[in-house]
Amino acid sequence: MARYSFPSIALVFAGVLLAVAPDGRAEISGSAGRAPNYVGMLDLGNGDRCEVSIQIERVSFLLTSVANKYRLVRMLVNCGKQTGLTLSSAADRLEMTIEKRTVPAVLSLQKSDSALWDSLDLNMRQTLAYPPAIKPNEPVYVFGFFPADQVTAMPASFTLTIASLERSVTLRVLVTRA
Amino acid sequence: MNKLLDLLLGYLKGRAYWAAIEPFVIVAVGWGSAQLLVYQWLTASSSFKPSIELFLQSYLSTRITIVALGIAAIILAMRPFGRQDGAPGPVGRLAQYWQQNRTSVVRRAFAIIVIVASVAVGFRVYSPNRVSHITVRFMALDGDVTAEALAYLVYELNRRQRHWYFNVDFRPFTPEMLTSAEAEGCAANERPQLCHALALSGGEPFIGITSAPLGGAYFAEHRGAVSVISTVDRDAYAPLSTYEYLAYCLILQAIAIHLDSSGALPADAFAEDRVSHGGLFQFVPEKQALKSAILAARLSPDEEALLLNEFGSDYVATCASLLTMEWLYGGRVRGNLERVFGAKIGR
Repeated sequence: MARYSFPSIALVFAGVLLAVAPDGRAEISGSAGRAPNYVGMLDLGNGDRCEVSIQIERVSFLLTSVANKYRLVRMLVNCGKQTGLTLSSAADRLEMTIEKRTVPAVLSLQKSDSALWDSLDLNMRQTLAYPPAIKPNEPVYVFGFFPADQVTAMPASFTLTIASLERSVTLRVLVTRA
Repeated sequence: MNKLLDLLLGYLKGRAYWAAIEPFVIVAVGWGSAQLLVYQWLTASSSFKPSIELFLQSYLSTRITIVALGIAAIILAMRPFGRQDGAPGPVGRLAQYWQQNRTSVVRRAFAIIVIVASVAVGFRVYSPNRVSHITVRFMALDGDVTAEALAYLVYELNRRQRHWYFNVDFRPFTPEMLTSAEAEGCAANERPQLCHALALSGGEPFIGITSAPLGGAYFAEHRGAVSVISTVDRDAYAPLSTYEYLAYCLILQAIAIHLDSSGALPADAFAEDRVSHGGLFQFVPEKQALKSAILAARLSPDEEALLLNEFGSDYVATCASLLTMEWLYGGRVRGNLERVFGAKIGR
């Protein structure tokens, strides 16, 4: 019977592991999977569209919060080449559907939680503030703050309503196959 | 001139006191030559050609005078020791020399230290100030003015200067970026745009561009390190384009910010007055007269002297060149604005 050294066995074992990994990467995190990507297309009504997406990493989303009060969601909005988007933190809505409940996001911390907002420095406020508009073909990140005590599991979907368009878009998990 | 100098020196050399004044005459001749050389260098090395009068009022001339006075003072302090016995000094015998002249040596060393320190302080006082970079923020733009075309204009301004530049902050502005107290304060402020600009500046040099009315002025407002320019009154500067108007206002407000930060902005700058010679810091008596000021923009001799002494010759040369706006009307910039950004230049 042939004798095999420990390094050669370990090498073969590692090769087998790499080969069976579905996307060719060895997943070692406890989540054992990719962060789900919620995607939706907002029709601007003139043939142009904005792609809206939110990527959430389960562990950091459920474990971390802003000042123990809010779960932060970062939404990427990328409009077409011709038409931009006019936004309003007062009139627009971002909602999360979670366990058959709808949880609305705070889009203006300045108005809803001024103590927390005022404690942030100017640069952070400029990053987090809800933008007044999105220019065509200029991807922009928009931030929403969800009450942490109402978000205890991964969301099923998000719904973004843009008042200037009087339209909504639902963002659902995009299933990708390797 | 040379003949006159030779005649004067010939006369002085025949006098008994020549030996005593000779070093000072040499310093005086050196002072005059240095003034002439630096003046020649300044006019040859830069597009800025100051008059002799302006040059003599400048920090360059003052510095030469300070150095000449310092050298003259050192010569005075280093006059040979008067020897009591008339014998040659013990040059090679340091210990004995020190014993005999200790008090004089200490006094002279102290005098030299004081003179050198005074010259250094004089140099520092008469040095041009460094100018800071300025952030430009497009707070709100009219529909026919694009951020990218305006940014190109700003970058072209930057290309023409070596010592400072404008930074363009492309982040769109919304009052929601302010703290709740700032937002409330600005909403109730009679100069809301300047209030927003002050809050956004974070205390750093800042120029905001907005299409909203200013409240306290037609075209621009300035406070400390912050200015805000409004394009709301475009009928007043038409047929000049908003780009020409903004280029002029940016240059003017940048100069105002730099002067203000060094405490040299004239006290009567932009003070309301119905009489104007089109000076840079003068109030525009009528809105329509802004066109006249833009088209005939220049630095007056007083403004040249002020900028030269505050920021140096390069700064004056750059400002004088930028204010003519020839760089904007030149083929390349104008062509790029029209071809790439679809922006028409009025003139």
